[in-house]
Amino acid sequence: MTPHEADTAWAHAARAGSADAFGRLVHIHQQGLRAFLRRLCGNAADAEDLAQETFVFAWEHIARFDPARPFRPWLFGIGWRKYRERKRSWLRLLTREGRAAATEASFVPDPGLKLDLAKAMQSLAPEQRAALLLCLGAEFTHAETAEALALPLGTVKSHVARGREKLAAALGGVNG
Amino acid sequence: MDDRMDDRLKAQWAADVPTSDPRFVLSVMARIEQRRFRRELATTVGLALGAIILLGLAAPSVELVWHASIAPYVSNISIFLTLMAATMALPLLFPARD
Repeated sequence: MTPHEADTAWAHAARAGSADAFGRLVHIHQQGLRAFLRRLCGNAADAEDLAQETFVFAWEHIARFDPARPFRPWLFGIGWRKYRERKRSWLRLLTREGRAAATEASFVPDPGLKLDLAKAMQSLAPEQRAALLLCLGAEFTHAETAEALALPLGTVKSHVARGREKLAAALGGVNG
Repeated sequence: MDDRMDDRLKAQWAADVPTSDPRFVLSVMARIEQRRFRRELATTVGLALGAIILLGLAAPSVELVWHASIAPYVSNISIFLTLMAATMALPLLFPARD
């Protein structure tokens, strides 16, 4: 059984109401999703909470999942939307509190992460960062990335190419 | 150039994947249960309040019908048994998910 077939079987059972089957899906995809969100946020604690929220949302809306399509892009798409919601509310909070420098860089990188790469990643636009992380970090195809981010295929390819160029420039300056 | 960059990024990210954590799975399942419990509690409290209000509003009419049509023909014990059976049947009619 391929991973995709296994996903589909567990997702079918979860759609029928099996929490055990959903637990299996959480077990299978937790590492990938946590890694994706950790690199997206640049902060491990936020990422863990977002990953949990993503799985809870996926369980509560499992009926919306189309078993004819792969599970992973659907799940990561939820994670991406949760990240954007969280970021928006976080920026609103900062603005309300009068902190003018409510920027991307406000997500403090975790000291445990590779700092050069983490810093360079934070300099990318969120869509570029997400597209790069999915294509290179999570081994998604461009089509799966487009599905997860709800973007046209051409836009995803362009985000990946531009993100890669920016990263190369940033890392080249740091690492030689 | 692109391939070298891709390999470099993949290698860095592959070396920095969080470990599979059973506690994470437990936390997710616990959060799901907490949400479900809160939702069911809110539904139950809402339904109970609705029923109390409806019953309060309809009490005078119910009392009239009760005295005129039901009380003379049905014993208290059979009413009690009917209510108990309905209470026991409710969870079977609306089972909790999983």
